[in-house]
Amino acid sequence: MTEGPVPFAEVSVRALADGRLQEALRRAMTGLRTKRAEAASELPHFEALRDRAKQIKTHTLLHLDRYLEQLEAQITARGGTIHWAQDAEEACRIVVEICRRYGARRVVKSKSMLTEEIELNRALQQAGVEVMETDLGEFVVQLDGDRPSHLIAPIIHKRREEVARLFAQHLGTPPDAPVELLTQAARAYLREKFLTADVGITGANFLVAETGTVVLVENEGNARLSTTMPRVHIALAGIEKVIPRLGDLGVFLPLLVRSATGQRLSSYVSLITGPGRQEGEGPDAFHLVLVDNRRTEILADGELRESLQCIRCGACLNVCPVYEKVGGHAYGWVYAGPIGAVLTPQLLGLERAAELRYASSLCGACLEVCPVRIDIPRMLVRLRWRTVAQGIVRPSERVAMRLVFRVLASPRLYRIASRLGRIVQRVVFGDRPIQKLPGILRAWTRARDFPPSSPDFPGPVPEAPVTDARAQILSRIRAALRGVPEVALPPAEPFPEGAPYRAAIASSLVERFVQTAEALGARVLRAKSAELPNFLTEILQISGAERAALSEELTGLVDALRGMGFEVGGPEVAHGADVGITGAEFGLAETGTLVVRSGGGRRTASLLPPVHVAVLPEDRLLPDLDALFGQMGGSPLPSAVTLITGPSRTADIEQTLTPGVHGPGKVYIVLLEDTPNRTPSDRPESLKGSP
Amino acid sequence: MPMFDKADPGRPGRVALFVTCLVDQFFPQVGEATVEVLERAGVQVAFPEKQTCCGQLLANDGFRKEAAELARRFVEVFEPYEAVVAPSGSCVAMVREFYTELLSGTPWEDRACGVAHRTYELSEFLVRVLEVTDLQARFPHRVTFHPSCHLLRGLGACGCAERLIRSVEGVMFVPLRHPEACCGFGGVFSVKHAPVSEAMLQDKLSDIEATGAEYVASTDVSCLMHMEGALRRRGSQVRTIHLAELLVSR
Repeated sequence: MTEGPVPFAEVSVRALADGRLQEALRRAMTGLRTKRAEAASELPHFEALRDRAKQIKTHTLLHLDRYLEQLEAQITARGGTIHWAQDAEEACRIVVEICRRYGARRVVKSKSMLTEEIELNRALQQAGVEVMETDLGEFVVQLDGDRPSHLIAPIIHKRREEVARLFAQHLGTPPDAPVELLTQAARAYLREKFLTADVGITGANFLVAETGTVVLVENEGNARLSTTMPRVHIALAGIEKVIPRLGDLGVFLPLLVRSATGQRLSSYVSLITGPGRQEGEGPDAFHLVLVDNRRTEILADGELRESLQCIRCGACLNVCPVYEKVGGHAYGWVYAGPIGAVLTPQLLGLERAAELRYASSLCGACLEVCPVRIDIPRMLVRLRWRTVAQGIVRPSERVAMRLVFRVLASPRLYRIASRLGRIVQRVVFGDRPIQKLPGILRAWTRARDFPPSSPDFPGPVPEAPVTDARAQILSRIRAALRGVPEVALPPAEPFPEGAPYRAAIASSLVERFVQTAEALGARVLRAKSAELPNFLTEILQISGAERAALSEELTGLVDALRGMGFEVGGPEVAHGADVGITGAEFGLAETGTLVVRSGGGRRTASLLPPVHVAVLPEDRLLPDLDALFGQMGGSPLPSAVTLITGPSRTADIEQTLTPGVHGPGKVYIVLLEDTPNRTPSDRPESLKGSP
Repeated sequence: MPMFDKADPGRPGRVALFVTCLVDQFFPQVGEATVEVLERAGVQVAFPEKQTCCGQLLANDGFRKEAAELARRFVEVFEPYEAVVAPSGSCVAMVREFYTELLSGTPWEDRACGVAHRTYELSEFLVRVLEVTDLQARFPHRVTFHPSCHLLRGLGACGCAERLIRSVEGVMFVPLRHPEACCGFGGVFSVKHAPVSEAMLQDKLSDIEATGAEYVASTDVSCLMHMEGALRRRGSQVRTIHLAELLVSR
């Protein structure tokens, strides 16, 4: 870590004086809070989901060694490579080494908090590798040499005008460009990077031990592009990200997305299992770097272990009255808000981030919304206990509190000190009005004295030494968990509270699917198979399209469409095509989601063109995620299963919802009322594909 | 079935008042009102003389050892009583949520657990334990209610206080738009991060003023104290009142 935290109090005062920032924070936080509340109340079993998630996370952490080994075995079996990194430096070295091995000159990255934590970009740049952040917000942050200030809305602190100025300078857009134009400029600029990058780097929202799958949740499509276009995909994840079963995603995905943005499902969820080379698309190589970086220390800490359960949804930031006032930068490091105040001291060391423990009124709003019920206020209090016990406290404060204690511990003294409050005030804060804050000002000076950074990453990157990181990490995990009582993994069974809700969906699959998908901006058409060429022709005409790319299972339609005067090709022409047409494996009625399996060029044809048309037989509609994972369970997954829910979208710039930032901005779904010549069982493409 | 039968107030001293240090030192009238409310509800109230403070200030500032000692004292002082009632959601939340942890591994742990289970905030004791909502009070004013965070989220008892206020004759209850928002007090927080605390407070006051209420009521004098000074400085006409004071008005 080259930078220590900036003093909270100092930055918060600046933030409070910034009227535009105050307004932006208030508006954004109010919006996110409202959306979360609506999304949570839609599910009658939302509270049960939270309980289950908590149980799963607790169980998994207490058997972390076992699940990491299972994950490793699965990923290795699927042709991927696992690396273990004990700390930030080792993780960076591993990634740099992988890049070197493939001769990578350019890396595209999708949003990842862990890579911020380990300062991967700096390491790559030092090694002469160009790194592009591709999430719109992170891209802006990178152009500006700034830092993200919110887990899911990184540039919540930036005004549209600032972004416009920045883009005018770097991308040549007009200085007063509206959000839509800025978004399109970023799309064009970054698309070129995606197509020419050698390596794509992502984080991971979840790691599924059972299947060896990396799960990526996003709205823009940049994670899809990062994991589809470059030859090599490197995912980095903290060791705490593992979950046992594929079916557990039926618990975690709705919780994460509803808590984070209030959507039913994010635009894209990618389930990446190994490299894609056997399927003729996707990267040739897949690497997962598992990072410890003090997580085993947290695991060994019975009082704070719970903080490893965080799924990084940002809900605690959105409800925190302190965050709303001070913004993310006040927290001084990568993780902001209530969870940041808990994680930062643990990841950087108490002595470097001690001040954060007081950055909370302990109002408990965070605990109320945390999808995995992390008791953040209690952890902050425990951190306060610990810092005082370690002597990290102003001597005057210690003397004052001891005196207060002396008085409170003795009824006699207590009675004698007739105006106790006044005395407390005089001793602790001085005999002045509290607003003048002499004590606090002293604290700021103290905070500025934090030791400066360690030296920069060395220029010539040394060969990655062969470490026994794997053995070290696993043995630290085992030592951390020795003697800790077990918590059982809850069975993956449906929630009784949710039964009526699910039954309502199951009873009207088609109507529900159409309704939810259209509400997201997708257009759903119902057709007979024989009418498909006509429908597709019409969509191409409406879209003003000249060129279309079809995935392989739709090759039979090529001639018909050519006959209508369109330039039509296979997935290899997806880049440059106006419309990509693919089959879809399943549809999910609850969320209006398309499930697209890799192979046959579907990964690229559904991603690169600005318009995606999906052809989906009606009998492939399922109620929800649980039904989907039920169908998929037990068999090896294809290299990528993509859940597509509506068009690509971003709200990074001033919370303005803008479609089509990286993936297709328009989605058409043709529901086939009949499925001639094939039944689900003999469909050539099944999710239960061979590995 | 209420634990304390109104018809039979029972043996003297079954219910102890924990007056809290803030009320004791700055708002004795709130303590007196609390006793009166409880007596009107048919409960005889004892006042253990050796009580001082729940220890929250010390616990929240990081002084665990000292807070644990105050917790132990509290348990010792209040253990003989069948119930402990305090005019403060915050202090009660402290007792319930932190005492067993503070005293864990000591011989006091189980005893702390026992006392914590029978320590109540005034409004929840009235409504949930005594099942009393009508105290024959009269308060012909426009009143809004600020639930303290500890009452609302710590104890989940916001509804009790609101019910009590609404059943006071003459009260015109006007709810806040954002009752769930913290007023910014937070004990040591209001001192250590005063500018942030003040900004939160201003939002709360604007919300209060927008209701057009004459009074803002709360179960916690800490929040009220925090709001009162600032209301005055704003030149606001809104006055603060503790729930107990409101319930003894006639």
